[in-house]
Amino acid sequence: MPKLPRIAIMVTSLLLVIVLFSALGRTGNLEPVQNLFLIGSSPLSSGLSKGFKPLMGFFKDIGQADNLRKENTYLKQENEQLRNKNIELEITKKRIIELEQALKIRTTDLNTAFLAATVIGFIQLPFRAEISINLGSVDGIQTGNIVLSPQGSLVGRITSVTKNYSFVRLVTDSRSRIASQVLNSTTSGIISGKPTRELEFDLVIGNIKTGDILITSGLGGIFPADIPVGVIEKIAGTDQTAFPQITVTAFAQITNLRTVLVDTSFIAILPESR
Amino acid sequence: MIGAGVSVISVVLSSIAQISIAPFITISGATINFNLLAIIFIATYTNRTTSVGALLLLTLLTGSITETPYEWVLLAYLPTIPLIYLIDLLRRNDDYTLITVVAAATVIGLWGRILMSIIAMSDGTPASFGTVISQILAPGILLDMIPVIIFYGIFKLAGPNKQRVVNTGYNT
Repeated sequence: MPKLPRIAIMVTSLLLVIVLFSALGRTGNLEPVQNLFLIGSSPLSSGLSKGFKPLMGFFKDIGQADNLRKENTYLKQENEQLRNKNIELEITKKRIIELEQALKIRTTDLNTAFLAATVIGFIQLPFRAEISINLGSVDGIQTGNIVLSPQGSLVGRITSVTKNYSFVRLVTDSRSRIASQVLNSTTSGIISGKPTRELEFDLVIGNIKTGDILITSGLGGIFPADIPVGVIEKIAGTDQTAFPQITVTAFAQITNLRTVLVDTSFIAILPESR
Repeated sequence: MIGAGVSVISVVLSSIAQISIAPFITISGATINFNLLAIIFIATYTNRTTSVGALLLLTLLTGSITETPYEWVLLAYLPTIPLIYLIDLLRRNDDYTLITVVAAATVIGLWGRILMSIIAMSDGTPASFGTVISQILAPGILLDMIPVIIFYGIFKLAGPNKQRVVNTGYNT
């Protein structure tokens, strides 16, 4: 019998390993290994990310010091206005709940439950933008829960859950589609992620202008309604353009996220569960 | 034994760096690939068995912490195997190692990005051929080549192979 060359044996073995990995991965048999790696890597990953981010930020911002100073002043003023507005809204919200209780109607969801989770890793592969967080099925996290920034802006939704960890598909992921509308308007459309991790407002029906605030519309059942997503930054195209290219800036500062809030009371109606 | 130990540490560190540092080093839609750097240098400076072992460990680690199907990760880095043989063949002529390593990194990096783009598209991402080339592959080539050249320089200066044996013939 002729002797097989070593390379043929190696390639065959690797192909068998691919099949084995595929089978084990799909049946969930590698989940203990995955949990082990995630537990082992999360402190180091968080530490590295924490240490490296200011360094990159420094190199990125060094040429924009003047712009940043102006922006800082503007943001301080805006922050003051928003704080005052927030107080007014808190008072109004309390009043609405009181009135709903008096009238025995319920439109405001009082059962919303948020869990605070720590971001342990940023996953950026071609067309993919995800984060991993340190809460899993033992904490009550389910696929389809939505994830918000500590300030309440939309970050993404849970797409995969292991025992102690979960993966979140970010709004900037190219596969992400969010049914949205302009605040205080009937204009609606779809916010989608781009490969460059920016956002676009597509299939718009109605009038829009730069500076319009976009919130989720709740259509489709993947995200609940009225969650702030971003602001229209740029509209490319003329008035005659049927579908102009609309760039949206997300409210959530994705690369600065350390902590996120998971809304465990909302579970998306995903296509596969219909 | 030392090579195997260093390889394990490199793979673990590169996998962690991929989810902690890499997201901050991007050009357009492409992100730096620390795993590629690790596997290329392991293939260049250790033996075949260690390289294949490192490849399997990398598959398990990266698949686990990035939630990418294990088989795809392995397929993405599989072209490293021919590289191991190529490096073995060229080991006697040190002049071609840099070119070989950079070319291999570029090809493997491209292959990996094409594969990941295909997975994303099969998962519902609407992307045109032009978008893949201009926003993923072209910047990806830069992000694969430059770090390999820098790391190769560092290895040559600080590594164990910094002295070359030159055949000068016999003095008669």
